[in-house]
Amino acid sequence: MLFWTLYRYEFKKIFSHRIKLLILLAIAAFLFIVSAQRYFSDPSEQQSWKAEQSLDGRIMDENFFTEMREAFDQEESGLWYFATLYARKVFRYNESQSIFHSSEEQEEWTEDTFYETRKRVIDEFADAFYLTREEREYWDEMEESNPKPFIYRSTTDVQNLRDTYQFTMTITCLLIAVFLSGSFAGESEDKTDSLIYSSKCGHKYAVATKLIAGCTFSLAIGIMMLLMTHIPVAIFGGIHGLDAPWYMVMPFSVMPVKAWKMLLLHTVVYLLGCILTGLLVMMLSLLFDRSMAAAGTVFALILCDLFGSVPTHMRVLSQIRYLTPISVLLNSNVPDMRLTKLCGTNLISFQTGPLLYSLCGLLLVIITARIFRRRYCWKNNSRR
Amino acid sequence: MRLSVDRLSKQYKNKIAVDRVSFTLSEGVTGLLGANGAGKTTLMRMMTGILAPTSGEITADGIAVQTEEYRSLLGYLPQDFGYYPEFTAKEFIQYIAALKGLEKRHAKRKTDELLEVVGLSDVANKKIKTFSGGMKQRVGIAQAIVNDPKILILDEPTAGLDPKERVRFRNLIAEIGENTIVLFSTHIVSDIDSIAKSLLMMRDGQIIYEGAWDNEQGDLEKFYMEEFE
Amino acid sequence: MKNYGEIYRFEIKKIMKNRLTVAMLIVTVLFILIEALIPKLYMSKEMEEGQKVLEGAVIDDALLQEMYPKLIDNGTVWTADNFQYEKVAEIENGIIPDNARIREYSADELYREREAVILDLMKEERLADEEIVWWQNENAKIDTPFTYRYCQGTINFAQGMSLTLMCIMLISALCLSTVFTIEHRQRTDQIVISCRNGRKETYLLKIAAGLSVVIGCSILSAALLAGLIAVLYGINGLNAIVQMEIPLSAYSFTMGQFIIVQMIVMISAAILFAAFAMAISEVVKNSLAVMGIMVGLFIFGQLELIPPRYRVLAQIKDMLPSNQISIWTLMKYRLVGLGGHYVTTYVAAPIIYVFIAIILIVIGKVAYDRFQVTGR
Repeated sequence: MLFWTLYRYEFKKIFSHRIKLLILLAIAAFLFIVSAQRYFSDPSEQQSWKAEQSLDGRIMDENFFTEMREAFDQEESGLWYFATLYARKVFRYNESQSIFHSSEEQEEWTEDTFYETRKRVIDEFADAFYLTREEREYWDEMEESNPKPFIYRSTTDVQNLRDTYQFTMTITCLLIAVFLSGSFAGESEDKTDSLIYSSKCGHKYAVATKLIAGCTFSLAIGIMMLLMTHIPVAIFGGIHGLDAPWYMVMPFSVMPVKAWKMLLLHTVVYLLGCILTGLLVMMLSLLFDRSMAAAGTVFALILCDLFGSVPTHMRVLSQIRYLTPISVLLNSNVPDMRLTKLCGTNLISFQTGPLLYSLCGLLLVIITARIFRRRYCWKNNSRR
Repeated sequence: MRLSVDRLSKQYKNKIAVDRVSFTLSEGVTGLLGANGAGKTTLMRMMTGILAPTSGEITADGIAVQTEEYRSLLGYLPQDFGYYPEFTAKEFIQYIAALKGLEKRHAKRKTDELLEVVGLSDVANKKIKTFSGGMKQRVGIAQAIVNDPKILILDEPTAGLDPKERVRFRNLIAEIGENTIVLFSTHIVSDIDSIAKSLLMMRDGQIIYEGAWDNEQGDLEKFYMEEFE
Repeated sequence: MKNYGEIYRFEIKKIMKNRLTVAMLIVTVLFILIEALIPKLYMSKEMEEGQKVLEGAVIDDALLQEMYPKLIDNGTVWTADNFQYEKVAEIENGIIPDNARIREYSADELYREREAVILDLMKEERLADEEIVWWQNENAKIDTPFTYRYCQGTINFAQGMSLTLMCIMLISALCLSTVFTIEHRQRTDQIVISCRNGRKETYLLKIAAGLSVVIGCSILSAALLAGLIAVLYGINGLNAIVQMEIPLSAYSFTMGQFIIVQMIVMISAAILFAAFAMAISEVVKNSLAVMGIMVGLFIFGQLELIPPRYRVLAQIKDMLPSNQISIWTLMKYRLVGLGGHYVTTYVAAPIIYVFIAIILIVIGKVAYDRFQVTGR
C-alpha cells in the first residue's frame, strides 16, 4: 500500500509544472495535425489514393507494367499514380536516395527489368553494408520466400504510419528528458532530499518508486504520442494494407512478413525506446544531481543520433550506432541488412534493438541503484 | 530621515496579509514582533520595493519606494537569504556592491572592511557553499550594509545563529542603528529587548502595538506572550 | 556607468562559472573536432590530390569529351585512372535528370539543362513571376562555362557551420536559459531587485552578458573549425563559385563570400537563440521547458513536414536558423518581398532574427519588471 502511495506521489511530482503540461498538450496537438494534414492535400492526390485500392491483388507482371507505362504517358494522377511512384523507387534508384546511382530509362519499365534491378540494388546494398557470406546467404534465403511476380497491394496508409515513427520517437525522447530530468535532481534542487532520504521508507522505496513512476510515465507518453499520429490515419485513411507484404512498403526489403507485423515491431522498438530513454534520463539525473545537465546530455545525444554518422566500412561501430531507437525507426528505403547472431539465430535490427534496449535498461536500473546506495546509504563500520 | 508607511495593505486572493498598516520610523532600531503568518515578511517586502502593495504608500523623506533613489538608500537581508554557491564571500559582496552603485575601488575597500567586521576575512576567498549557516548569515549582513544604507531592513536575521553569534549580531546592529533606520523582525524577544528603541507588534496583518519600550513598562517577553495568547 | 562594467563582469562570471557551460564548451570543441575529421574518413590522400589536377580547367566540351571515355558505370566507380574527374562528374550529375546518361550531354546542353531545371524548381516553390525575373538577372552574373576549382576545404567548412550552429544553440539553451532563473532558484532575486541597479540595469546587463558569451562562442567555434580545416584540408577555393558544390544554385557567390554570409547568419542566429533562451526563461520561470522548446524547434526545422504548397509556412521553416545556415539553402529560391523589392533570405534572415531578438528582449524586460517576490 505504502509503495503505491509513494508511487502515486512520484507521478504527481512529474507533472509539477503547468508549463510542462501545456507543452505536452501542444506537442500532442501538433503531431495530430502533422499526421492529419497529408489527408487534406491535393484533391487529385486524394482521389488517386482511393483509386489505387482497386489495383489490390493485381499480379505485377508484364501486363501490369505495360498498363502502368501507358497510364503514365496519359495522366499524372489517377489510378496508376501511386503504383508508378512505387515502381519508380526501384527503376530510378539513385544517389539522392542512398549510396548508389543506378537508373533505367522509362521505356525499359518491364517486368524483367523491375525484378532484375531490384535484385541488383539489393546486392549493391549487401556490398555497401560489408555483409558477410553468411548474412548474404541468409538474405538470399529470405528473398526466395517472396514469390515472384509480386502481388500489388495499396499501402499508402501503412507508409504514412511508418513515416511518423522516427519523428514521434524523437519528440517523445525530448519530452521524456524534460519531464524526468528532475526525478532525482529535483529533490536536491528543491532541498527535499534530506527529508526524503532520512525518512523510514526513504531508502527502501525511493529509487524503486521513482524508476517505476518514470517508466510508467515514459510508456504513457509514448502511447499517447503514438496514438496522436495513428488516430488521424485511422480516421481519415482507414489503415488499408495492413496485411500487405512488407516489400510493398519498402521495395528493397526482402523480409517475407506482413506489414502489420513490421509495424508491430516498429511499435515495440518505439515503446522500449521510450522506456530506455526514461531510465537513461533518471540515471543521469541522479548522477549529475542537476536536472539541466541530465536533460542537456540527453538532448545532445538525440542531436548526435539524428545528425551524426559513422562510415559503414567501420562495420561494428556503424552497426552499434544504427541500433539506437531513432535510427532503427528511420523511414528510409534502404533496409539495414546487417544481422546480429545470437545463440545461432540471425536477428535483424528490429529484433536486436528490443533485446539490446532491455539489457541496457536493466543495466541502467542497476547503475542507478548503485549510485544511490553509494551516495545515501553507508554501513556503520565502527567496531563494537 | 523619516520612513513613512501610510495605510499600507496587501491582499491576496482570499487573504489580507497586511491590513491598512501605518507607522513612521526614524533613526534607531525598531523591533518588529509577530507570530508566524502575522504579515511581517510581506510588510518588509513591500518596504523594500520587491512586492507591490494593494494600496497605501511608503516614502522615505518624500522619496517613493519604487524609485531608484529609494533603493540607493536601502539595505535588505531577507529571511530566506540566497547566494551563488560558486562565488566566494568577497566576490558576492563586491557583486552586490556593484548592484548598489558603489564605485569599484570603494566597493573593494568596503568589502574588505566589512569582512573584517563580520569576522570572515580569513575565509573571504572561499566559496560560500562551504560556509556554515552562521557564516552565511554574516555574509548576508555584510552585503546588506555594504552601501552604508540609511534604511536597513532585516527579516529574522538571527534565525539559525548560535547564542554567541546572536550577541555579536545584536551589537553590530545596535552600532549601525545609531545613524540608520533599522527595522528588525524576529521571534526571539531577547534579540531586540536590549537594542530596540521602539517596537512594532503585528497580528493578522495589523499593528497591535506601536511605540517605545523600556524596562519600566515591564517584561517585554511576558507582554508579548500575553498579546499573542 | 562605472558600475555597469562591474555588474557586466560578474554576470559573465556567473555564466562561465556554471559547470554546464564548461561542459558545453568541451562538447563543442569535441563536436567540431569530429566534424572536421569525418570527411578524412571518406577520402584518401590520393583522391584529394587527384581532385586538384584539374584546378583552373574550364568545364566545356573539351573537358567533358576528355572525361566521358574514362567514366565507369555512368560515373559511379572511381579508380586511380579517373578520380580527377569525380567532382566534374558530380557537378554534371547534380544537373542532369535521374534517368539520364552522363555521356549524352555536350557543354551547351548541360548549361541549358541547368537553366531549365532551376526554372522547374522555382515553379515547384511557387515563385511569383517577379521573383523568377530577379533570379534570371542574378543567374546571368554567373560566368558559364564554369571554371573548375578544387574547394574541398571551404566546402567542409561551409558544411561544418551547421554543426557549429547546433552547438551554439545548445550553449544558449543549456547555459543562458539559467541566467535569470538562477536568481529565482538561488533566492538571490530578493536582494538583487531591491538594489539600486537591480531592475532595468541588471536586466540589460544580463542580456548583454548572455549575448557576449554567445557571440564570443560563435566566433571562437568558427575560428576553431576554420583552423582545423586549414590544417587538415587547406584553405582552398575561396574564389570558387558555389556551383562547384551546388550546381543548381542561382546565387552568384563565391565560396569565400558564402562563408562570410554564413558567419553573419550564425552570429545573428546566436543573438536570436540567446535572446529567446534568456527572455522566455524569465517569462515562464522554467529553463528546462525553454531548453526543450529550443531543441524541439531545431529538430523540427530539419524535417520535411511542411509541403511546398503552404508557401508562407514552408518559407518560414526554411528561414529557421538551422536551415538558413545550411549549404543546401543555396538551392532555395524563395525571396522575401517588401514594398515591391525583393531580397534573398540571406539578407532578410539576419535582419529578422535581430528584430525578433529585440522583441523578445522587450518581452523579457516586461516580465522582469513585473516580477514580485511573493510567498514561496
